[in-house]
Amino acid sequence: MEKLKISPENITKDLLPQAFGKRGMIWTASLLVLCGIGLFAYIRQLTYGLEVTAMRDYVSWGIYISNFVFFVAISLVGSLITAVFRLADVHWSTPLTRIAEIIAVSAIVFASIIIIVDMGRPERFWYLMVYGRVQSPIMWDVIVIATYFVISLLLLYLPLLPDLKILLKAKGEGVNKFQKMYRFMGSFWKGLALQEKINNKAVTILCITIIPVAFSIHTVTSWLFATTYRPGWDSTNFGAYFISGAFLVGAGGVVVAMYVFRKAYKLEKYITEMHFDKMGKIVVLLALLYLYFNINEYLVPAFKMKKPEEAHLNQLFAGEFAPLFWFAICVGMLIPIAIMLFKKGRKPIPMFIAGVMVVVGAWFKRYLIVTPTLLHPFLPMYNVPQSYHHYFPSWEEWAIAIGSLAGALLVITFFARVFPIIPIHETITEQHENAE
Amino acid sequence: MKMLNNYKLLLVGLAVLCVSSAITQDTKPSLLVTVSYRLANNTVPSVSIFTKVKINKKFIDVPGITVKVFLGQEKEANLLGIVQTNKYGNGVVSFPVSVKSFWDTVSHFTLIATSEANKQYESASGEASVTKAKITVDTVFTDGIRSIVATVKAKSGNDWIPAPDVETKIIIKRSIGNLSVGDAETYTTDSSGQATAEFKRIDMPGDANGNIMLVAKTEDNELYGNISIEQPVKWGAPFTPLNTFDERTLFATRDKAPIWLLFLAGSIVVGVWSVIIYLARQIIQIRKLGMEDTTDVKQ
Repeated sequence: MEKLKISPENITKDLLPQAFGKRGMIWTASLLVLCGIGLFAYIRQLTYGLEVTAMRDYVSWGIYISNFVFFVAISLVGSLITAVFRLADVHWSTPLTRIAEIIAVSAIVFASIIIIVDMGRPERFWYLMVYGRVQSPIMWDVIVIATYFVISLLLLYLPLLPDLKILLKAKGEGVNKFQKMYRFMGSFWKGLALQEKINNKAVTILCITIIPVAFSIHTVTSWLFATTYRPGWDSTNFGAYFISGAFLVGAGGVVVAMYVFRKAYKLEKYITEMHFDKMGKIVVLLALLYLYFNINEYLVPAFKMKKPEEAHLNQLFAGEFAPLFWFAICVGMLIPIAIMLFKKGRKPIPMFIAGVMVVVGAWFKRYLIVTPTLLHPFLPMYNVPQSYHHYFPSWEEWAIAIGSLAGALLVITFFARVFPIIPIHETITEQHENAE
Repeated sequence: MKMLNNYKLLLVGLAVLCVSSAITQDTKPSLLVTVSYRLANNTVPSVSIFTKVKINKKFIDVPGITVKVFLGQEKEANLLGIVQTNKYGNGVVSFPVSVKSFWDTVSHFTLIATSEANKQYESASGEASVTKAKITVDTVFTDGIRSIVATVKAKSGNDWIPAPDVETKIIIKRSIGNLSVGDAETYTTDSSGQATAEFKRIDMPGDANGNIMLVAKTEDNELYGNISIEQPVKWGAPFTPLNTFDERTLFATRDKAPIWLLFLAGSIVVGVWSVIIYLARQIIQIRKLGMEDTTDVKQ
């Protein structure tokens, strides 16, 4: 981390949670409205059943599952920024760790919610628990998501303990009303040497544990597809392909969040251009890696052009899904690479634009992984209504999907309102160590 | 003037075309009713009805046609049954018990099928003249060679006499299709009404006891219709299908999950959650330390 030359008092003052300003209120209200519309659409789905969606016999996984895969993907960033960098003793990422962790937690929460939405009747989730088969990858996914959620929560909570002590002592509009919560969560933290030792050890254990669990969560998600014999999914490449894509979208999400928090909370002294520069290099590396897997995933089947895969690939490359496919490839990978490959492109504003492109491209990429395959089964579709040959989500599906994305952003927003989004204690400690 | 005549000619031509087209449109297509006699295993005979229509040089099955089937003459007393053709244009009528006494006495008979006119089709009928016949099958094992002898006999007065020159199929019945027992597709009966086929399907998988089903039959024979006989023989290789229904497999029910999977999944879950429980205990430890300490350490 760069030498900050800021007094601990000023760091604390700068990084304490702040009350929402006018823009913050509008932002939160907008998210609440989107969540409300999503909730209304979900109530309609509960009332009338999955019939309100555009999903039918063939496209039984629509944007709900695309959204689920997107959420699981973006949640992986917690393990990358926090665990991998911490274990590699990379200190410049300290201001980004909590951003990454809250993105991970909020994304994994909404991944779980959206999968229940996709089930139609929510009690089916209970049946999954009671009657679930351990042979099913869906069961593995449920187990691994629950595990990853708990680990991510612990990884968010344990490094927060020293900051809770600071928050308890702090006075101000931003923290006063949450004192009871801070007391409940961390009044026992006294900063004792033994406490610090146990905490540091626990965080290290968590960092080691979260990496295989994070790899499992997205590998298992990829197996939901790859264990099914269908064009476009019948691939041994899927685990690595999904993981690389997940790291890319997660890193892109962190870049966007970095820029927004930096701007909203005036954190220029803490999230510096150096952070954008380094994150830019990481995103380029991840984008190139994901591009490599994409080439493998599409070029090899296209070279062989097996008959059952032909319709699916043609639809992607030059058919109905071609605009979306090339949009996802260009906007999600090629253009961000072109922007961030150069130093000027790794400045905050171009980085923010590239980060948004990566995230948007990644969402549509998940849609392209899920839907076109379902429209091209190995056995041709005969004697089915014309509507079964196409899929375009109903307004209820859009509302629920957008509502879930808004919900994830709302969790992050509320977290940043209540807790410091950059670790205060760690920043002070690292500055002190740097000064020495 | 010449031009005017040409126009008149053209108009007359068009009028003729329109009238002929209208006449053609009003004509109902001719329904074809075919009758086929069947006797399986010398038990209760039945009649198969097929209703078709010829459109653009192609025969199209006609479903939903009600057909009356008569034995001998087209009168209510000889009615065998009424059938409505299915989506393949096919219907089957079994001989009722009421015609048994008549049936036992005849050696030649005629089957008549009639359908009444409806909105789409004119009335139609079809018939088939049949000589009553039966087929039997016997197995012979000489000099290490297995043979099947099918015998066809036709009824003549009160006697059953050998039926020569009848083309028969001698086959093995399989799950989906049939398999010829030897090299030839069909075998023709000799003057004694017998057709002999050498059994060349050695090691043909049978049931658990090695039973296979031999079938001898005539197909759409002009005189005898479709008569067939089935006989099980122990000439197949015993085959016990691999039944994993009650075993631990990846596709079994939840209580039949493979042990290795339970062990693997269980180990991973126990391993990771042990770490989580350990960390939860560490948090309790941190909490305990903080509660025990009464001093406040300066940050």
